[in-house]
Amino acid sequence: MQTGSTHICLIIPAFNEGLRLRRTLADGIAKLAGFRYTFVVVDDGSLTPIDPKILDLPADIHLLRHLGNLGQGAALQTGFDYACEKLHPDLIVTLDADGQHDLADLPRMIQKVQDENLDIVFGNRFAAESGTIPFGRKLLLKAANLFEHVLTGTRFSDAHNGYRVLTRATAERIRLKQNRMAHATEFKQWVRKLSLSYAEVPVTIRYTTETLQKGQRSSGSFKILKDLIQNYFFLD
Amino acid sequence: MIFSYILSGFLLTILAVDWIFLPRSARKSRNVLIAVLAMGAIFALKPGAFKSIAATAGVSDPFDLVFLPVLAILVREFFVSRLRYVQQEQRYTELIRSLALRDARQVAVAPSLRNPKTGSAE
Repeated sequence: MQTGSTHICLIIPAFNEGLRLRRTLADGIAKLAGFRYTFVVVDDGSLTPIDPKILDLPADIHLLRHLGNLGQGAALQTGFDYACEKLHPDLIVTLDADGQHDLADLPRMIQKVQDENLDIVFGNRFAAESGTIPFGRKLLLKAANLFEHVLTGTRFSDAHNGYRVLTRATAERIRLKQNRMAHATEFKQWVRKLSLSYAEVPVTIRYTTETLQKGQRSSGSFKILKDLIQNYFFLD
Repeated sequence: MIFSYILSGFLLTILAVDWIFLPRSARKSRNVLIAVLAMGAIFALKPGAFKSIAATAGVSDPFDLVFLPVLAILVREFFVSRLRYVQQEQRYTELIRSLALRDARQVAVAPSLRNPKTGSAE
């Protein structure tokens, strides 16, 4: 794996994260030694804007701020636009700001993209130790897998995993229109539409009281469904 | 009969409120709304007139004469307003995104790129 020569851009959408974001970045810096990387933090209209001082860490960190809260999908697209236009990385990584994604898994994901010359790699929490996943969440995600399979024809084991690695060329071709959480399904739609080569890699998701409180609720699945239906009828 | 009076009173009250508060610049839509409310009030007081109009129009149930067009208008309004909402949201997203991209800045620098004297980016 070409660690040092490959430039990686990690896009982190953040909404009301504060010091949790700093912990995530510090953890990333500790685990990414030997990589050439840049963090792009997109503050998605946090009620208290992210203070640049809390991001004063030993790494290249760029901060973008949405003046209003648009949603994670919109924040990711803003991050893609910025990374592709200004930073020109070889690979782009998407992950959550709350620290639920373990960056120790990243080298394996990068290796998968590079060794198999893939367009995009998705994290799969079910392939790793899945004992920590709450039962309700497991059930909901399985139902989402089935729904996405029917909708997109793609076969994924983990429908809504925000941990992804994609090439810059792929990020340039994808245009996320789903502003909120339905963007995870939209990724699969793009995989099919652009005939992208993809794979899933086992990753660990840290479920803590914090991440479960901040994360998606089961009722969020109805909002996702509503957004998908609405945008199907009203977006180009 | 008392229900007819209550209903017509209710409609006339809405009519008065709309007459006072609807902007005079939206004259056409104001007039249409007032005409609909006034007709509603008349039909509430004189249901026989409504029945004869329905019979003239060839509709057996006078209720259908009102219900079907109203339903069609409501469905249309729902779609039009949803479409406008989605379009506005898209524009709003693009505006906020452009501002975010314009004002983006590097807030921290990797140690290897820091100026040893100033501590800032070289």
